Amino acid sequence: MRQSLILPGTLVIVFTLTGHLQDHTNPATLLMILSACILMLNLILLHPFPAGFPPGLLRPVTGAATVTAAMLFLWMTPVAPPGALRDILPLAAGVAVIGFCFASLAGLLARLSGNDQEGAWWALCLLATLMTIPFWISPPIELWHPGNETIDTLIALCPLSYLAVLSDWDYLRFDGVYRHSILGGLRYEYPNPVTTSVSYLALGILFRYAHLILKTVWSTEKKLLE
Amino acid sequence: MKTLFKSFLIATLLLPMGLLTAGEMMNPELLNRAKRAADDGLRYLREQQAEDGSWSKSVGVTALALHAYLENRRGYNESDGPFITRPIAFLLSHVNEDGSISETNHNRNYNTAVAITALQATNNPEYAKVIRNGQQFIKGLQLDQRQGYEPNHKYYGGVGYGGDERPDLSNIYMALESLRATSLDSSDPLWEKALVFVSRSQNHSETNDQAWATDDGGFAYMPGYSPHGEAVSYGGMTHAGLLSLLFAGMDRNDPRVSAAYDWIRANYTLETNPGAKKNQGLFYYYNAFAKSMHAYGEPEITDTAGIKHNWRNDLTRRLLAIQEKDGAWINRDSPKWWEGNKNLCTAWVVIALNHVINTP
Repeated sequence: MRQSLILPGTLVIVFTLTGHLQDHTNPATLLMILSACILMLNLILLHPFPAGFPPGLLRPVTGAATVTAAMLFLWMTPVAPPGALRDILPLAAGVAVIGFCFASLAGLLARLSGNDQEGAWWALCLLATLMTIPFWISPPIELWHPGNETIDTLIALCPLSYLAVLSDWDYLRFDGVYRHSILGGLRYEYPNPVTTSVSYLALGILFRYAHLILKTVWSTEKKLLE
Repeated sequence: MKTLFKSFLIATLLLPMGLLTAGEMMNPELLNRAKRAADDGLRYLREQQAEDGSWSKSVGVTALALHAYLENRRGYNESDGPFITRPIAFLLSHVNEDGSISETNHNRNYNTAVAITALQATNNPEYAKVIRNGQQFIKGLQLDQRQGYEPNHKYYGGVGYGGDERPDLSNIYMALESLRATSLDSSDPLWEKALVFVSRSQNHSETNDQAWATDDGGFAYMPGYSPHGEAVSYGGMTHAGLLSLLFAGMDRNDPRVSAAYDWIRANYTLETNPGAKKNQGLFYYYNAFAKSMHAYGEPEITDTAGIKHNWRNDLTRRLLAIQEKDGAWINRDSPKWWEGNKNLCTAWVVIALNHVINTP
């Protein structure tokens, strides 16, 4: 019971902290999130898990906490890796975070559809749809003139924005994007990288969790029917 | 003696009016309505001002609104109270270590340019250092050999938003306007380099070495690209291009200036932003139109069909027709380039009306 509260408890702490984040460069807040991740890792790795804890969750939770801790370490860092590594590592971590989230989603969808390929296909379709938001959203924006908050939300939903923030690249003003998307010509803010990282990781864990619950429920039902 | 002096004074005052024909002078009734419309616009802005003196929580919009007040015929200045001093304090609170003045990383050129222009308009020497640092920041954004751009590169001499290295005519026009307003040395190499980029954005093959250039004399958004298709010329950019040439010291005898003016004559309208899709950038166009016509100094424009237009009358009529009931302006056709923001559109229009009213 104690251990089963670790995940939701930690996520609540992390979300509460990130909810107060106004500026991702605030070292005190980052330090608190980093501490929460390290605490979670310690609890997971150093305490025995009860029989009821889904073993399939151990790896993603550990991985998520490690990645978050590593990313925060890179951002805060008096001892950051030098030069190019400092630029590449956050981007690589970001790709891993997105990969984890969508792989988890693919697993869940595969469970729901009963077909691995179909699950992967739907997850890939969703990823492609979100990645291309800046392009297909332009006509509806021209038509409905949404407010700044909606624009910022749309930009935050696009995984490219997350990667852009991590690599400090204003991609909406990049030639190829600017020419084909209205977003670069509107008022916008990129999402907070810490909040986005935590959101992707939390979603990934939730997808995994749902996947495992379905697996357990369905196998129990199957046994009962047999 | 007194009578002689009075006669001399009256003659001196009437002399410039005497030089203008009836068509060149602005309709007095329209002039009064322009003044009232500007007052209504400023009243709207006053109502929208936040407690900290800002508008739309933006350095750029705040600087433009402040500028609209400072250049108004009523001569607003810091002694008028917090509605002038607070926006100045807001701008100063966003001065960054690199000299930029911006609340965000991805509009640093625009924001810094309009902020130092507004600070300069206060005529307060206390801001000289901030203005100087802002100038240096903008100069640092110009693409040249320092960033590996050789003179034959199409981006050479350009300035972008500040979050990337993709320059455009709109950004360099704002940069040049601010550097001219803050009296950057006219022998600074920045002007020559800027002219290279500005020339390469013009559809004028005689002075543009880019293969895509046609010959209508208008300006595209950047070398070889317009958001309204291929590299078509359009109103907002052509007036921005004409202003950029004038800021860089060119005059009517320059072939690029006369080609741009010819495009304006051939595409004269205030109903739309000529050449633009869906009226995108309409208020940017009105703002740049008023400033460029004011700077060019011709009270009447004769279009290519031989019809004369008093630009001040025409612009005033158009702006009065589309003013909202609350005194503001907004682009109802397209939100692109922030024109869904009433504070921005209103500030731009009041600045345009200030040029209408202040033109002798």
